[in-house]
Amino acid sequence: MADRGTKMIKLRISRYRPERSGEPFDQEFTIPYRDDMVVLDALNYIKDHIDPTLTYRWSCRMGICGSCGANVDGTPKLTCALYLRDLKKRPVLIEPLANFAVLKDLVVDIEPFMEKLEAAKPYIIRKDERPIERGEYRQTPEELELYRQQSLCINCMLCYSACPVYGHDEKFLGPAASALALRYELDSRDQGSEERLAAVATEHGIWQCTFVGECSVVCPKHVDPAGAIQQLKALAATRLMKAMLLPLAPR
Amino acid sequence: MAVETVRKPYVRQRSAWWWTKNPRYVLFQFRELSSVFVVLYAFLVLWQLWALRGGSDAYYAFLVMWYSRPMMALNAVILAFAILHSVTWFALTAKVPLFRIKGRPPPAALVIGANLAIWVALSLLIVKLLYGGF
Repeated sequence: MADRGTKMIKLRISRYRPERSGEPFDQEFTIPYRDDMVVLDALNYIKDHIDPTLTYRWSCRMGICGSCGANVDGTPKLTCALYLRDLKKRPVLIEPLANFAVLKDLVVDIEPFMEKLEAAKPYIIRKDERPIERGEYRQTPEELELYRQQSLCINCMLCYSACPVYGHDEKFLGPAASALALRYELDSRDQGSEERLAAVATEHGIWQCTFVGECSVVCPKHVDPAGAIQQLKALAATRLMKAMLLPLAPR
Repeated sequence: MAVETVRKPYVRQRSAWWWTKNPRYVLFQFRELSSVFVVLYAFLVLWQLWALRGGSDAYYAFLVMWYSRPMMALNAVILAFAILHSVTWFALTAKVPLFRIKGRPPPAALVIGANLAIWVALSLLIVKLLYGGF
């Protein structure tokens, strides 16, 4: 345990135990810490040494699995990529991601998010499926570069936690799913642009976005979902105008 | 097989003051609010046209009201919101690259800068047309 001279840090963690209490409550923990510890290390310390019932998701602890998101001092963060030394407030406040129902402690219900992802048709749609013998659909590095940024999404849901529009209306398609739709819209191998755009350019799709822009601020992978949604809006609007002005032209 | 579950998803209520927690949310709320003032200004211009239609006496009465202190203050507020609305809108333009330079989207500073420059130039042109010379 802690020696003399060990630095201590106080954390306030939001707990919810559906089998015991009806309401979430805060619990404080004071633990020894070093400068190289991230928030996830603190959670692991508590689980290993103080309270094994503390529940949270994590896997890779290197910022690629997207499991360990939580609101730290009110901001959605990957807890594995946030150093305790960089946090100014004491106690450090750790809450489950906002805008999602809480299942237990820091674990939220991700089912609504999975439904959004599916709704965006995040796969290559072909009109003419080539036989396997003809090999893969090839792509130049330049063609890859067109959608590379949007393809970096790790589905951590920090953007949904940061989005006040999603907080207001859970029907909203949301940032990550929209960015993923754009990723396939910009893919040279895809032929389902019209179908996908029709699925996302709806009242509760991209048009519900009021461009708060906070999704792009909190995104740990610099996907820029806010920008992606604006690009989709421009794409949908141009296509609509073309259809109205040139009804017979190929789209 | 039926599995007994104690799953009780807890839905948290969002406070009405959620937007005060983050300065960018505050800016967003003010940008949304700005549209109210832009609409208000449109109604003021309609009012002005209506007064103009009422003849010179009616228009003079309107102008006296228009240049009163409270009205000047209201116009200053409207101007501030209109500028906020325009600047944040132009900042958005870089998010939608309509063309590419050597395969890359044009730099954001160039797109936003060019749009702002055209906006300022057109505004100055209108001021010059209305009031003549500088």
